[in-house]
Amino acid sequence: MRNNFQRLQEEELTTYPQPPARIKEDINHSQNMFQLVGNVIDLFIPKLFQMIASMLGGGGSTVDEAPENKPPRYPNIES
Amino acid sequence: MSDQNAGNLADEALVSLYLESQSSLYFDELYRRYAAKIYGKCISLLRNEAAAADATQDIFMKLLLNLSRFSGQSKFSTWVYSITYNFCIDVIRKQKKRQMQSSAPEDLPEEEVQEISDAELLEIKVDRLKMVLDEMNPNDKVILLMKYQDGMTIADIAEGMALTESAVKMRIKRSKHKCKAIYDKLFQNEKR
Repeated sequence: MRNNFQRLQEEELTTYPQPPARIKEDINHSQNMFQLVGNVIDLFIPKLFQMIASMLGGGGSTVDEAPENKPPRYPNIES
Repeated sequence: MSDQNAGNLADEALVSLYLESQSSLYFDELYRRYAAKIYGKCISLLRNEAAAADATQDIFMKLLLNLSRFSGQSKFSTWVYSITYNFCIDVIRKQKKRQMQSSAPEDLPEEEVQEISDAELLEIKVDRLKMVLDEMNPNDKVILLMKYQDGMTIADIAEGMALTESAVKMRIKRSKHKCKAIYDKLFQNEKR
């Protein structure tokens, strides 16, 4: 059973106009912008950090660390 | 998932699916459910369709940006309406700062406030109730709408308005008193 406040809301919903379509369009536009910015950040920020790290000398070449280039752990055992 | 399936989901499920997938399908469904209600509340409080449209857009942007903060402790509708009321009160406060200060809900000493029963308030006819609410200070109107129209608990209102539960109870008591006083003033010579 609805009370008088709830009936008032129902009446107002039928008498007030529908929200303008431009509200939804603007929200969709903002939503797309947020997603684009999020994707750009996801793609480029890790790359940027990698680049800075390599410029500072970190994260060097992985070639030297390849298993075939490492000296054997136990020189007297043939690998 | 199709539009039809999204339409069958509870609000809280739509929120979690939106947060997981970022698919606009789920947010669109929440918009479909709440846009008219939020817009109606904004018109009722701001009394201006253009301002209500701007407020509705800003409220949905707030919802979109803060969906991850929805804890699920209260109903989604409670959270949405709390944001709506707080936003509208802020807009009105900015528009009419002086008037709001002069008619703040704390202006009556506690001992002067008579207890008005729920039954007295709920038996007012709908058309008269609208007239009475239109005469009320937005702060008082909002707290009555939260309790009687949206069915929020005292704890929900306290959380939504950043007040203590005892402060909410006092505000409700004062708002009911003011509602009754305005009703008596408007319709003193008539029966309900």
